[in-house]
Amino acid sequence: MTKRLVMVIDLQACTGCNTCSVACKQENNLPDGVWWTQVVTLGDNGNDSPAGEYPNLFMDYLPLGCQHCVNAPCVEVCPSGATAQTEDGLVIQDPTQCGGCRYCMLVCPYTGVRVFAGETLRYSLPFPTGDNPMIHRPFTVEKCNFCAHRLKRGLLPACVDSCPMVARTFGDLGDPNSEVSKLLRERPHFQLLVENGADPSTFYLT
Amino acid sequence: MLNPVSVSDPFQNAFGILTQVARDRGRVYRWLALGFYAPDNELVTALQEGTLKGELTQATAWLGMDQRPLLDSLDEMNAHATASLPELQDAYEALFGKSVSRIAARESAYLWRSVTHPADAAGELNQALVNLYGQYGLKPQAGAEDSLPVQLEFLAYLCQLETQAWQAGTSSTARELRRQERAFLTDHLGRWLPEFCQRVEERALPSFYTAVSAFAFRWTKLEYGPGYSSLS
Repeated sequence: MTKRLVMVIDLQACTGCNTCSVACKQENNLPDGVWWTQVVTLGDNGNDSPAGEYPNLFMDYLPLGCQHCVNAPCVEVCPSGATAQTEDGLVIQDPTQCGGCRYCMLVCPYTGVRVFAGETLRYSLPFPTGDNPMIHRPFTVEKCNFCAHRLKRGLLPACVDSCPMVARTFGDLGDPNSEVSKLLRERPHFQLLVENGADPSTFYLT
Repeated sequence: MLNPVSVSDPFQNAFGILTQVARDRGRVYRWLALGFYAPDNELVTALQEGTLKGELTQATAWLGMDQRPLLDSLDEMNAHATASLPELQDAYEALFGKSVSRIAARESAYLWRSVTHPADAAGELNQALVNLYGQYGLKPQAGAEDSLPVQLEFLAYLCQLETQAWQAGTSSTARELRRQERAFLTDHLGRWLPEFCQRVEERALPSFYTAVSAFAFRWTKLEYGPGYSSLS
């Protein structure tokens, strides 16, 4: 079977600590205000706000980043070739090729997984962090690349490596013996907005 | 029994979205062209009836948060909504007319930045533009090839072709047209528009034309993407 790299996220294990978001930001030296992965609170408006009335409250977390769709509309419409799909299913975005047209953002079925870098990129630290050699450029679109630079070195994406609850698992869905294949065989799961037909490569265990 | 999820075609959805966006971008270029041609009754009516502001607001709504600076320029433009045709003609003439201190609204006037012999280069530039327009079956009025409104209209035309390509689902053609639009900004309009807009801003008293050139600068900056020259 064809290699297909996927991310499996266990929503039972996720505590919404945002370690994944911070690890991603550090690893990829993301400018201020730019996040490639975030943890969305499912509850009331705002972070860590439950819905309902005490004592009947409800709150859950949904880690959200690029879903690395198999039928990625962003790849189909990118005029500059900055958004591309690798043979193993990663949807990568190269800011050095990006013309800033935002077509990828407009056609993405998932809101908020891409960021349009503003005119001035600012960094909280006076030195670059992490190992991603990517250069961030103003007026370009950025997003999660599943840490392609780490995968090349045999490492896992930073968010997977750093999750204290081991809520994230990454691997090849084309390999029936991989951890991700086992998890998806054994546990109920869903993908976001399947009705869009994009076939995302991020699966959520419930 | 579970109802099966009805799955749509993600590419068709995307093409539908970009059909609208390309159409909107074309509208922006077309209205900008109208703004930079010598003023006529169509412009006066569009200003007075709020059509210009309404159309440009609608056509840039897809930018989301980044629409804000454009809306500021539209408010400035709308401050001149009551301007009469003679007032607009006076302002146009004072800026772009036949005075010694006119601000040239044509690309050839800005060639001195990049060539040693601007006069020779102007001829080559115009020929290159005629050839380029000709590839799309267009023939502008002789001598107007490098003028601002003609270049804006050319981009509007490319956006129109792009709209048709997305609508027909021919994404490779649509992508190629989008690259052509960007290339035209890189090779022509984007090279001189920042300087032109800065001159208008520096020279003119607040008028419809300062507002429309501020809008043009901000819009082109967003269209150009990374690497746009800002002289300010």
